[in-house]
Amino acid sequence: MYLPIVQLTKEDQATFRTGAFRMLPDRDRSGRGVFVARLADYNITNNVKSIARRGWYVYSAVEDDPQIQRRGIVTVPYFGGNWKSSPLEVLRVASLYPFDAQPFHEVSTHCVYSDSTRRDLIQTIRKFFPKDVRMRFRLHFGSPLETEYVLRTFGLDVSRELFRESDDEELSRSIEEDIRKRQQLDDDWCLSEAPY
Amino acid sequence: MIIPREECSLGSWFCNPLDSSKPVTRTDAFLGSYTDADLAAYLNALSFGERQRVEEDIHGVADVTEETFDYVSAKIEEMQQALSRLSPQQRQAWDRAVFLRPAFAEDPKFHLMFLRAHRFRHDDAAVLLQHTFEQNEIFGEMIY
Repeated sequence: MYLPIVQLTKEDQATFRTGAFRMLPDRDRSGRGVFVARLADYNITNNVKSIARRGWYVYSAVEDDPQIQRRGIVTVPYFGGNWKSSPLEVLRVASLYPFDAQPFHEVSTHCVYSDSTRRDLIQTIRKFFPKDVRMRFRLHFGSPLETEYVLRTFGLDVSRELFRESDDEELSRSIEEDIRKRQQLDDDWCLSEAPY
Repeated sequence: MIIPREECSLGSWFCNPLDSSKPVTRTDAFLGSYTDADLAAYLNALSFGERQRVEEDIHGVADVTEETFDYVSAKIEEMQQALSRLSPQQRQAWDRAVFLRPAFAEDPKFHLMFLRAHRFRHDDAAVLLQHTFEQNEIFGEMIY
């Protein structure tokens, strides 16, 4: 299985470049992969399956990393910020993603939010996950500083990604670097064969 | 606030009140979906060992299976046997993938990825493998 970046639509690629969802280049303290999703930045287009494909693209980038296969992946969705699409619409589309068909172990999900009115919405999200994932689901409510320290108790240092400004130049450079590496992988694949 | 049944974007499972004659309110829909009590009930249904495993996973201190050559080879063999035991209907997507790219059936790294995803439970890994290949509609046509 291999999904090259050219198979994503232009809108997908544009969203990918915003850093709304990304697999962090560094692993956490336990060697797990960390997937960060700023759901408010998701822009739902007419193609409802698109968001699933984007998610898959990010995940599949680490498919051939044996360390992450052994240790698993931690997902950190963030519910703050100004939503570009309706939260319910984001949820509906997210529900299309086949969480139980991922060829890796999703170790835990840490939902982060700072607005208590979102709590009911986030509780509902649990329903989308398979039973095994639901048990590994944790909610973290509080200010960015509070959340940062709570996440550190789980070995996660993702505050920079979660609470970043939209014009963070260093982050933009980091994302471009991710894309460059991935395109290199695509090119290598074209010259030889897919990793899998 | 009332969510008209036909407009509820989250599907029928979300708009399924106990009393179908009443309209679904937002509060009913949310609070009736999944609560901390449900989570506690699931956790209580686990054995001590299973709960411990979940907690260790969450905090990143779980043990990783030692992968010796003999152990991995035996597990891959068992997984391939588990795959062959699936019915032709269940195996349809996997058979298609192997037809298009025979290397899938032979590549130990590929099988190992699915085994690691399920902590070397070969039956679960076999089901996951065929289920993953059924997702072409969502993921787009993957490259074989």
